[in-house]
Amino acid sequence: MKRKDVAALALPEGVNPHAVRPYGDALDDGLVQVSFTLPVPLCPESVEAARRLGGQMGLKEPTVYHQADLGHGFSFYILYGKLQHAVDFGRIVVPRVSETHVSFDEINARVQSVLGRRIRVVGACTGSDAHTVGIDAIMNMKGYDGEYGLERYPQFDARNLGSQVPNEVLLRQIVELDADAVLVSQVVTQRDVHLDNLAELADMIEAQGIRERIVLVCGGPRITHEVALELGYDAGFGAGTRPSQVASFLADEVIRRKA
Amino acid sequence: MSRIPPAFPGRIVQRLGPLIAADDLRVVAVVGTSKNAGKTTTLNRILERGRALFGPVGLVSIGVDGEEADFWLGHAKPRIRVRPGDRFATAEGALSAATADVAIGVRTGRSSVLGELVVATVTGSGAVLLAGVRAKADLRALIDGLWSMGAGKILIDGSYQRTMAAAPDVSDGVVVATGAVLGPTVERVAERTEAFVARLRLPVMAPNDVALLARATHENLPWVAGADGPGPCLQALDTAFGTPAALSMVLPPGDSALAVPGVVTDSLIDGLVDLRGRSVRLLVSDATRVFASWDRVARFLERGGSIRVQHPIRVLAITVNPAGIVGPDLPADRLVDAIGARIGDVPVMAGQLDPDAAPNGGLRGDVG
Repeated sequence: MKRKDVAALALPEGVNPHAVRPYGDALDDGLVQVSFTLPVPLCPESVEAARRLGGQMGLKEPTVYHQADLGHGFSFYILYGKLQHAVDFGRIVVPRVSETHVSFDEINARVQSVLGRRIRVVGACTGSDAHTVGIDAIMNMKGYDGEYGLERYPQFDARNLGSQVPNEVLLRQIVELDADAVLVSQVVTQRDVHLDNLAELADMIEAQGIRERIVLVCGGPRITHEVALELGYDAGFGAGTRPSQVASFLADEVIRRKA
Repeated sequence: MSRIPPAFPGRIVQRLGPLIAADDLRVVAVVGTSKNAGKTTTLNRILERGRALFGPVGLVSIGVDGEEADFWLGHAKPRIRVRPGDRFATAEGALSAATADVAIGVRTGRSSVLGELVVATVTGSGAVLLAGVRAKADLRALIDGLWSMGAGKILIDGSYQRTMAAAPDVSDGVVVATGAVLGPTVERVAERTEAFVARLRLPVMAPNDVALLARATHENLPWVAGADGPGPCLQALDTAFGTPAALSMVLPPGDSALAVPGVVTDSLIDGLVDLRGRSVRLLVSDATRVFASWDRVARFLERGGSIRVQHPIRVLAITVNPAGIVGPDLPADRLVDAIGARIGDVPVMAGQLDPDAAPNGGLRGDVG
């Protein structure tokens, strides 16, 4: 087995799934648009500088399509050019969760009928992270994007511990509340120090001897399932994730492990 | 700006392959002091030189290894090159990223976001992607699968600075990968490497302490032993995670032992440090349970405390990657000397940077 099956993809006619290029005016022309600001005033030399930078990016036939003076010695450019690279869809591996993603009522009904008790969830922004927007969107009763948060789900006992929670405090809460699932929110800045914090929590839960019975999930604007895998988490949800997606994944995983 | 520092002349302190070939080292983990410390490169060098010594090799990772580009910083990563006869463990979904020909031999029934965890045999040379292990139970299942498929030596690639794979109930020995990514100066890297290795090499407990830890582990409660004999801690959770008040209530004056079945955290160590006039032996199963920062642990030790483990970790060697990745590159020879001066009884080795490799692929050949 080498390449995954790409025949099932609903691609436009003529597209080679093993060499996909950007589309501009015609298939495989590789046409892309890039924009940037230069710290020089707008002048003929700055336009030429922008065009040369496009060439150094690997764009064939770079053309400055738009330029504007931003004042204070800065200028802005939009370039068109032809990208020479292609990607093989068959070689791309993106982890994904297999949650059924059903509705609020269906998730609650499934937990009640299959598990027969509420799912205990503990969530927090850990370490030095004070950005609670993500964890609040998923957990708070008011929810996000027209959906209720986990606190509103009758079959979830959701505890949001807030921001800047040390890993050992979160671990203590997990043990004391006998949590089924843990949600950790991290923005990940400051030279990726938050990734170290996430990795430490995964190892602490393992060392405490409770990893196998915990569904461990991380989330944040730069978090993906691949990041989660790297750090020892079961899943990682990024920006735009809705509460029902997390609820569905948690329900499926907890039921799979404990039902 | 070049990321490749001047070539290092290739000093070889020890050779890694023969060290790992020992029969009592059935499972060896490569553990990093940090992300981008050169774990996968070290693994590749072990593979290059070790296959002839080991027999069929089994590969598994506790993170994601063998990917073309770093998932976070985007720079190129060292691939994991396999040959016919190698065994490896990964998630089924990761097989589509392989350029090697492979055949699945064992299905574990354990799932991940990349599909079921499987063990496969390589039938044609190429690269593979190792991924899917989330927990120690996953790792054990895959190690069992690799044994069942005839692996003669199992190598575990680490992730970040995670020490799960170093646990003695998983691996028989550890190679520590460290390097310039740990700090801006040679001394800072050496200092942090010393602390990391010192934690892994916490000394083994006396035989009469083993029974106390066994009772603590059996009851999942901390146990204390002082002049009046052993007993469980009533404020179990408080004591397990450490509060000075709880500790002062349960620890008797004078010498005592505190057996902790779970993790050792900053607050537990802080609480013990605050107990003036008492000498405490802290007992844990193994060093991977100790999460307290090393400066706190050092203060605890300076004040007469000690930490003892039931199952010690064997640190076999230290490999040094001079590439800074997010900071300055550092001279490999000075890194080796500085780390060797602090940790005299473990081989420290580095090699010249591989100009064909990724920025963190700096250990060409000389450690194999």
